[in-house]
Amino acid sequence: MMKWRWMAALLVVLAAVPAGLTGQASGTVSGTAIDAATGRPLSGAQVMIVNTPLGALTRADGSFEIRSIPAGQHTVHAILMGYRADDQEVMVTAGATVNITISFELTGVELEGLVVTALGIQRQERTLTTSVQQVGGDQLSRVPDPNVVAALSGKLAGASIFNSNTAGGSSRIVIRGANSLTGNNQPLFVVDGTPVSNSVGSGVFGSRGYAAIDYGNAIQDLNANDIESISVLKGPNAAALYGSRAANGAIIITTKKGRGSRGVTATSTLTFESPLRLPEYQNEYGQGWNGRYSYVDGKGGGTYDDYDESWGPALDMGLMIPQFFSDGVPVPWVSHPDNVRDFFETGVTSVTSAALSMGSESASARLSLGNFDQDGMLPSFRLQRRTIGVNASGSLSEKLQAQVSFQYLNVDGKNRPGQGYSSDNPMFGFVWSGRQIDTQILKSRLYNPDGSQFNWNNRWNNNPYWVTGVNQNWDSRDRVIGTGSVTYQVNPWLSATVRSGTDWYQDHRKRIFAAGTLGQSGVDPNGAFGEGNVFHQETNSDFLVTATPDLEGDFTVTVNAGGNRRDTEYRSNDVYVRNLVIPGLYDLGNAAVTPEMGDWREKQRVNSLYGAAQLGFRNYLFVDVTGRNDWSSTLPEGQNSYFYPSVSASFVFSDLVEMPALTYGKLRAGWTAVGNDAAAFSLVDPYVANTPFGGVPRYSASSSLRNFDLKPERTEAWEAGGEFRLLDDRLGLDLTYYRKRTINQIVPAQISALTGFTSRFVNAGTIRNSGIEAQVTATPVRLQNGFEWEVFANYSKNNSMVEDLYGELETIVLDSYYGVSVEARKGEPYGQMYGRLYARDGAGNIVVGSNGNPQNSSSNPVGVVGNYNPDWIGAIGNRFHYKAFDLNVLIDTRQGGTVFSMTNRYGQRSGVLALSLPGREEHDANGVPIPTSQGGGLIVPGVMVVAGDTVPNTIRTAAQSYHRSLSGIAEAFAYDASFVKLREVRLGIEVPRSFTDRLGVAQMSLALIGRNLLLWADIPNIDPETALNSGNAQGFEWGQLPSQRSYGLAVSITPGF
Amino acid sequence: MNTRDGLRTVTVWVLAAALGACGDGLTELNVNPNEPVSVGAEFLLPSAIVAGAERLHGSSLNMDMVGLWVQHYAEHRYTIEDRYEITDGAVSGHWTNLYAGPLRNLYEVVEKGKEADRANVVAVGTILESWLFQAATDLWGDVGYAQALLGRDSPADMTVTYDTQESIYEGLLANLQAAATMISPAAPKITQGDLIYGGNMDRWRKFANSLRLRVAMRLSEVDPATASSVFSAALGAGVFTSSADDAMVRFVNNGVDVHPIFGYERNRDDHSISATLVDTLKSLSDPRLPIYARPNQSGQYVGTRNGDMSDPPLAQVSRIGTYFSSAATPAVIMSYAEVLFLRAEAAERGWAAGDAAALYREAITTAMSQLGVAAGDIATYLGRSRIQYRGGQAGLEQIWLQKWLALFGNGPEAYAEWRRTGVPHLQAGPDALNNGVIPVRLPYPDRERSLNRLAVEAAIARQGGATLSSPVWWDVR
Repeated sequence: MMKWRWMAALLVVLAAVPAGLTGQASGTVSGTAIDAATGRPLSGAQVMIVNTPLGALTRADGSFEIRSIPAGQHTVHAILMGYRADDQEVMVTAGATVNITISFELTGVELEGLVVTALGIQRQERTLTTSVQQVGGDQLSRVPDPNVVAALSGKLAGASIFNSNTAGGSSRIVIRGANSLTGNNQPLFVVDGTPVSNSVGSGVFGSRGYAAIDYGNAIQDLNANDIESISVLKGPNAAALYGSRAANGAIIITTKKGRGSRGVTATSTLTFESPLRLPEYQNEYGQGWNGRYSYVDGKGGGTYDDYDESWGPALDMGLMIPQFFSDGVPVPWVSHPDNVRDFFETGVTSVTSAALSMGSESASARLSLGNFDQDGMLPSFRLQRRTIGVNASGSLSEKLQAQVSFQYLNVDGKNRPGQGYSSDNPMFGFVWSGRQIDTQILKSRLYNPDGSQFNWNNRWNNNPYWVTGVNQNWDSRDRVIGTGSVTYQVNPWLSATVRSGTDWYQDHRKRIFAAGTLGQSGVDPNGAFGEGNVFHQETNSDFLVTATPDLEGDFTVTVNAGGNRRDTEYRSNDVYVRNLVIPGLYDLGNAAVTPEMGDWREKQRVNSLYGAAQLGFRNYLFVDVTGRNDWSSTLPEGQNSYFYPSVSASFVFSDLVEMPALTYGKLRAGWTAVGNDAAAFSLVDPYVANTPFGGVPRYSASSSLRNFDLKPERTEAWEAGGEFRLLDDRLGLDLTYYRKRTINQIVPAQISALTGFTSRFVNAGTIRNSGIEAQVTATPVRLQNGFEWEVFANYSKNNSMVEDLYGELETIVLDSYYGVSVEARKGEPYGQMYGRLYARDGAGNIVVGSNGNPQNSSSNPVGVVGNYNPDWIGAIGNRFHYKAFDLNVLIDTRQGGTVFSMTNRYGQRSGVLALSLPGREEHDANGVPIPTSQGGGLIVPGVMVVAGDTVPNTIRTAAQSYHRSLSGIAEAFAYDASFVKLREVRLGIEVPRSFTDRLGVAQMSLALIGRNLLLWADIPNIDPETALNSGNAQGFEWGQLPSQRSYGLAVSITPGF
Repeated sequence: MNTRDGLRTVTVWVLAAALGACGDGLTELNVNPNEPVSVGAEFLLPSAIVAGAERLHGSSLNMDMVGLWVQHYAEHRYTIEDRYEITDGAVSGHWTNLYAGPLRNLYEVVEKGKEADRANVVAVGTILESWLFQAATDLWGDVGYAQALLGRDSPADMTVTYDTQESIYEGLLANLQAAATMISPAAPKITQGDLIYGGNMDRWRKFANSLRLRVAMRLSEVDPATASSVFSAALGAGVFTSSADDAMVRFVNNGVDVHPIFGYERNRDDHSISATLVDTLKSLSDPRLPIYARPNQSGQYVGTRNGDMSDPPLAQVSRIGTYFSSAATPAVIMSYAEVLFLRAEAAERGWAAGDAAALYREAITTAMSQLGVAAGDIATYLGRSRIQYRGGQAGLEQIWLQKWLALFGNGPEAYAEWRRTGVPHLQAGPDALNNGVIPVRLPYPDRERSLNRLAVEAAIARQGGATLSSPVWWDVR
């Protein structure tokens, strides 16, 4: 608790700082930025004091303020995208404030600005020697997404983002391809200088025998309205300052700070969610088998009444059949085409955020409150988040500045859906199902008179409303992210900063399974429950000394030296009770069996020292050099210290060479190496406790062999690129080519089980990634009347190659799922998917067996069915602006890549999807599809083998037999995952002053917003943009919950004072 | 604060951090507080016993594979293994979970026993290891044996050579004999973790010798000389003498430590009794029919034809009998009844003294009374002409048929004995793949082909193939 005490103390001190403590040797420049033509205040302009590191962004009302400027003559350089840069000379007097007005004139697209780089250091874009992309907070909150990572979709070149389809679920982001064979491949997230966790520890409940709930990636807890900007450091260069984890890139989030004057802003959005795409079901045939069905008890007592497939009699032809709700009385056998759509409700999401900011010359603060509340499309699902953010800074003296940033986040989830192949997933229940089922009857009644579950089937499946409403789960996370720093300006060229920050959360989860739940492994007759806690804390303490000695002449130099200590602690425990004494009481004291328990604690520490230097020559040539040494607790002594350097340079050639149409041109290149450590406890073999057997305690040898000789991993990368602006800055282009290699990876390599173990930690493997990224910005139309059309586009393509594994090892299986494995195989791209293929003849025709179905046996070849990584990703954003109106349209796409769809596979097998109709076009008077002997069924296009020769197939097979036979062939269900999505649309209007004045409001905007509005994809029945979880094995889909189409209204108000 | 003070402060900070960063004391943080790095044999033993029994008597090997192939059970809805459609996933788990599971734990039990100079611990570990190694080689033929389980001792070499089944059998016989000999009831007992005999070393000795009978008998067709001499030696050294000696794991009706078939059927119900078994029991008027099978909804005993995709509704067929699908049903690793069947066969073959007919009758009586069949019903049964012992080859076939009936629930042993004897005469189902041939071994897992390629390829070449239809060495029927 010590940390909290000093942080609280700091807050008190800051709050008590009397406004107006004025520096003696420095002064302030403040003012307003306006549009020269309209007089409209301009926010987001970057104002810099040339030849100093000082600068600011203008606020919503156009105002800005820059303090601590050394007295003397200065140039104020101000830039804003779409406007011509403005330069003004000012005389700064010690202790005084100079007021200026920056009047921007429209011009071409202006890109050169201030960019937040590692450790929060703001740098002018021209001085950057590697690829950094900045996304403004307004771009994130424009059309809100509950997940900040998902909100980045389409906005970053080089980032591959996979989204889950439930609010609160995981989004996975990988920049420039996977580095690691089996470890983390997602970038490091940093909030106000403090690395924060993006993982919520799925370990709890992970191995307790039932489907996992996706509790999401942790970074989504943040309130998007609190984000000032996101800088994405794509290459591993950021690692010099953030350590190994930034080898996958770093996403640096800067939260909004207090502003010079007092201000209050409130924003509110209300959106409605509905399914973007539901599977296309068939409505011709109902439940059953071989065209027959009659209900008695739903567990085999009737005619195939326990079969949860739709191979039964034809619907809507006047048949009368006893059904689950009819007490044995024959009732009309009719279709319910919307029985799945009706199950989903219209989701309602409200996001409200209010921020109060204030400040004086020497102190500023911002307080924000946020509330997110989603009543989801799934019955009973609810997700709520509440956030409190405080940012405060103050000058304690002329030389001493302090800053604190603090976020409290609270997340409450209720009835998150189970994922994957589990009766706990409602979509599972619609795959194994009868198409005649009236969901409304199931909704109206959950229990039989004897208290058991009322359902259409009593063997395997649960009433979908039982799954979402009777079996319940809750989770609650409290989280604090806080950073405090103190900077001491030793003299005009030397400063020192000490900073400490922590990310702390505690998560409590509970899940209950009511008595009467069917088909759920680990749930005994009186019901079951599980309960768990996760605790995580990461604390980083660091110091940084910055020197910017004034070199007379053409050279400038900045030197940073610092150190960091990172402490990570993770604890979890969980308990699972598979049977209760008294049904309905989900309390440990009510356990009817010995509870299964798990408990884990883990600590890690990394100490680091690092340095960075930048040398500039005439403001057009820059060279960066960095070096870092880490000492990690997870590596063996003697191997636990490792050094990694980087060097990079940029050259603004347009300053030297006049070129027609080119207004700005820069070339850059860099090389980096990064070391990395192992997971905790990778060195010594442990024994694993088993649940005591009948009270007898048990331990087992671990099946994974540790290794006391591990060495640190190493990634080496280089990149080269250029930035160009043409045609009076109306066209901008940013290109990057990169190449990286990771060697000595620490992986649990699989070994023959004959050794007594299944895997061994080794340094193995080499992965190479290379690719290109391009960003284009353009202003195709700009009219005198104020109409403007801006375009932003990005494109990226990554190629990966697993060059080497370990010894004779040919592959590492990342995961396997129903006959498809995702592998890192030597000589193949990372993420290759393998499965059983169709048996084909030499000409590529599908070979059918004697039953007329495609051959399906263990002799079918196993081969590549795809790779989950896309060929390329891209996006186009358009902004149309006219007077008070603003229209944004973002379309993004992923082309190539494979998804293995279990919904299609089993939906075809079970006869519920429209895919399963071919071959049962005709039926007899009893609703039974006519047999093949009478021309029913179908002839599979392909060849059959007759006396050793292949001839065109003439064997007729029944629809039920054919569609069911395909499921063993992975190739049949591996689809091209390409899609195009209308990701975001926002039509906004700035309410005219004349109107807002009457309301007593300074500023007000209204907008119609929409997210995920349209989807174009060839794959049937599902949204190919899918993440089953956030792990490395992607490309699997199973029982996907429909993704959310969301549309609504956003209001933002700044009251006047 | 002036500049010099500031510099001094910064310098102190830098030095303090640099000193802290030197890596001292870091490794202490990496000591695992959750899991021990060393545990005693008495904690590994119960894990190995339960895991071994669950593997061989559980649902996925017993009920979903070999128990189907010897036509004790039949599959519904997903008639996959019952049609001999064998995926790598169905096989590789058994391989992995035998070697990197109970076998590895038993290896450590033996090593720890040796270190502590505790002969009884070494013997118990060896006996159980032999039980599982025999099951492994009976399923796969040549497997890792002499060089297996040494991953920690020679981590640099991650390949393991395969031994021939013949040499594995030699090793099993030698190890079991040594184990039986080294047991000393007087020496320190195993006071904890012996879930089979609760530390009764006399019974462990009998179990070792009884297992020698089982191992020896498997050689009846390839090496009868060895089989006969080992058999008589083992018999002389003392084998099971009553059902109280049975080696079994007693599952517990506490909701958690339940018999694996009960555990399986809690969530899935897609097996019934094979028509072959039901029809055989019916034709013999066997009183075990209502114990092995439950009547269908019309009160009839109806078995399901194996490998038949027409898949009759479950309500119309007989499900697994209540006793064999109950929570506390024991997994019988080896029974006195099995020993009596082995002795009857040995007597008939002239390998050992004794009256084959009497031993046969006693074997049936023991098998039945264990299941609670009334003495009068057993006597009636023994009196039936089809049951009365005929001697000679016909007698052997009677012994084998009765053994096939008695081994219900122990699929792997029934499967091995069916392959050795060819009794009963089983037919593949109408929708069978594999050219209509009932599999006679499991294929090697794909993982071995990628992780231990040279060794497994050599083993396959040596055996002349290792498909579902390639018999193992002792299977020459």
